[in-house]
Amino acid sequence: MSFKAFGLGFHHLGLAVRKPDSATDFLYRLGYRIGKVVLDVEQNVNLVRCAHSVMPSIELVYPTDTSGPVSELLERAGESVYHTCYETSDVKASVDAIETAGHRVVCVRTAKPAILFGGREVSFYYVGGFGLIELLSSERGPMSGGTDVA
Amino acid sequence: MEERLKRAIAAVLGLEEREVTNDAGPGNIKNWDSLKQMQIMLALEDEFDVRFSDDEIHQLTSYRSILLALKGRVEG
Repeated sequence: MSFKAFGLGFHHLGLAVRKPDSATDFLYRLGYRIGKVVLDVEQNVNLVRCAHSVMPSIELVYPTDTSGPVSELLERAGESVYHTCYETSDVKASVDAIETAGHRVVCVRTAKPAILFGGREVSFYYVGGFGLIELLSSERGPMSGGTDVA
Repeated sequence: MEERLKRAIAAVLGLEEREVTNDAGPGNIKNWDSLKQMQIMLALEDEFDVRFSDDEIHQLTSYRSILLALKGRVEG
């Protein structure tokens, strides 16, 4: 992977949907490999990784039976791409570099292990004038196994 | 200050200025959600040339609390 400015490498787009069926069918027909559904208890959302040989990876995010953060988003904006995820070997250095470049960065959720990425830590930031970004640590955390795309 | 504040909040939320009442907040303005909250606070940083902490950005979730914080900075 080639890293560019801010030490960030593109990882995936986060797509919020009400239900996964239509989205997974659409992506499958586009040639995506559809991963298993993973319940992220921490975020109270269901997640599905979708990978393609040439198209950007997509993380489908849809609500559980109880209201969570994505429910609010869906109510306001409907199905939509709502975050961009980048991989970095040093989250703090990347955030510092973005701020040094003059962008306003607000921490939305501090780093927590993500079951979808084998325990690697993810954190969320809002970049003024850009939107929500997810930063995925390159380092593997104490959890193991992960859930890769089938 | 109150007028500028209401104008700035209204602009982010796509409302008329008069719709931002003294009691305004996520509880009575439907599209004042967590994303709009951040957009409001960053817009206010530009408008009033102030800087809020991350905690303030997440916690100042009403017109009144924002006004109080702004007064402490701009007039303090």
